[in-house]
Amino acid sequence: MEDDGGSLKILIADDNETDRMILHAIVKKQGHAVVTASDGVEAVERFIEEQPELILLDALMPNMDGFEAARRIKELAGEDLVPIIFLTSLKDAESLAKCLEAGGDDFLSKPYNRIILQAKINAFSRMRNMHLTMQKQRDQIALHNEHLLHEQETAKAVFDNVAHSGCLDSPNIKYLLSPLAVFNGDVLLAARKPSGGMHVLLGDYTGHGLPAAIGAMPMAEIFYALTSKGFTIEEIIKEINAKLKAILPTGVFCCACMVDMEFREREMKVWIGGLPTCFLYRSGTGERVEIASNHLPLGVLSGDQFKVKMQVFEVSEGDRVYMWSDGIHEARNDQDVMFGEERLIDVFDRCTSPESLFDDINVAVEEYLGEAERDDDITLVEVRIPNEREIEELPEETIDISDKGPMDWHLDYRLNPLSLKYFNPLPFVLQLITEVPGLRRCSGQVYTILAELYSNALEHGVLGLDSELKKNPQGFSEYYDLRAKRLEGLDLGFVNFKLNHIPTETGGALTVLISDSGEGFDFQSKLDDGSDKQYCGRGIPLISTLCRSVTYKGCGNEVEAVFEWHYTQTGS
Amino acid sequence: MTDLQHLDLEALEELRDVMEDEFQSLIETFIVDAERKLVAFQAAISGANADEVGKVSHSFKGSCSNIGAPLLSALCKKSEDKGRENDLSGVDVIFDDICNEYQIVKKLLTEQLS
Repeated sequence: MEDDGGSLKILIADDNETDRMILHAIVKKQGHAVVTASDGVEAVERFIEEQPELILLDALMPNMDGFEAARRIKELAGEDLVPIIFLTSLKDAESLAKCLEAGGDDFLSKPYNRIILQAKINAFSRMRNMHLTMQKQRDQIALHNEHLLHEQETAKAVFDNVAHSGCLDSPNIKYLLSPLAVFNGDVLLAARKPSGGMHVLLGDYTGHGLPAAIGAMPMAEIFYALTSKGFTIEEIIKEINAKLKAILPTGVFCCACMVDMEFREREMKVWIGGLPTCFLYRSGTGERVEIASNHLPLGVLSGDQFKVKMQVFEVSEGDRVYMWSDGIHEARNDQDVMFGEERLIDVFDRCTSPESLFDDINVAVEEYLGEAERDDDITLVEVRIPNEREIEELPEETIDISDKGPMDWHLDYRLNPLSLKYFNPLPFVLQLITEVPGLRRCSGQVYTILAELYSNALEHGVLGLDSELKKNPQGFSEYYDLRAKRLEGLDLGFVNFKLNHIPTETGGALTVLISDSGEGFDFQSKLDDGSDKQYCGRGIPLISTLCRSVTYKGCGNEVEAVFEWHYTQTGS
Repeated sequence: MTDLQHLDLEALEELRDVMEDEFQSLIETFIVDAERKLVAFQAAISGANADEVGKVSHSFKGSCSNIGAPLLSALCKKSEDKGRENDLSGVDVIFDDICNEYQIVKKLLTEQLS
């Protein structure tokens, strides 16, 4: 008979010399190496010295019987499979059971039958090989798993460095996010805008593990870099989409929702593609506004097909916006039924205090899941419109101050129709201004001044839009539609920046003169009127508090703001 | 009991086949070992040591069955049972039978060697 397990080293332990001789002869004839022992003590010693791969063990032996020897050998073998075949003429069930209890794997009764013995040795040899393969594969899997975990830790550390936590810890944000969420494909980013507002982005990548996490890194990098440089939500979402489209393989994309909050202007813009409907909860009235996805996820469409159209909302202090990945909706109870949107709506309907809504949602999901196994991929975020005092106290991004840079300079920069249509000059201009050493700490204030004056020049001056429109919610979207339409059709007009910076003893003075091609307005009569109404729409009171002076010139299509800063001045 | 053979020639042929050059050594070893066991057996009976009677019988039974001496093996089984039951009455008679049967087996085995 062919030996299919190769040659083994076999220990034969029997106190009968003739039995030992016979077994030795049979086993050797089958091509195996033989080690012998004449009692249990010797058997254990031989096992330690020779590391045999299979053992033929007599049950009844002097000094130490086979049962005890089997127990010791199995203990020494640990997780290695060393099959023990008991040699016995015992026939009663109790004795045979005792053999198995001691760790025996099979029996061979006397007189020995060499055919049966050979079959048994072969069978155990196969089993042993399988066991070895399994052990090897198990060790390999364990090694791979360890490797994978290590890689994930490294990847997570890199991601955390890229994504840091932004301003997720701001007092107006509550969120639920698993520490390893990035490997579930969930990403949550929040950052302060130079203007003082906030960008929050929730992304849910298709898939799990590293493939799901890989897109999160460039996404976070773009989000933070562009937000801090003053880019708009439209520009950021467009840039992220283009990047993801370029790097992600087909079938991998990112369902996302990004909100842009302008706290002082009480305005919120939302871009949502592929995520479950978000809710805007109006604390004053208890009204729940649904913000449904109206775009494809990020990374699906190429740049020319991609739409950045925003949903715009007027918001009030204390209003809250809720975003979530599908983890909540798809959380299953022990009956395998999903939580679903209706139960979520129910939580809002039953809400008595907006303060506790976030916790109410968590409790509802928790109670619903009960004993069911948790997937741990529930991501939920609540962003509240803070009050004035809180806005002042929100932490600013800390920025390095370089020592050398341009202190005395002048810039004349004119944007003609094509540039006005397709280009946002603010990041570029802000970048330039913040090259002034020390002025970077005031970038928020400078941005606010630039943004207000530029949008006044463009929207009221060049495009001739009436700020009265924005006084009610319907007017809001009408205003933005009209803005887009007029900008699209623009073929005449300009906005001109004249910037001048001079050093002073304690810091510097920045003069911003912005003029536009519009008709201007009768600022003089408004001033005589003693009313700030007209200015209100133009955000001038806010700018006036930041600047030494704000002066309208010409026919009202020219405005000059002088901003003074000091080295000792803090960020806010 | 009488239907059991003194020597199972078929089994013996197989042993010869397996052992090859060592067949003679095996038979000689069996004889030396058997006589040592019979001495131990005698001592156990004299000492009225039922446990030892059982053990020696069990061990001898095993080698007898392997060497191809079924009747001798069966006799050992009887004394083994007695020992295990802790009842040595009549064991001396069985022991005499074992000794007689052993002499026959020894003679037959020796013949196999020539």
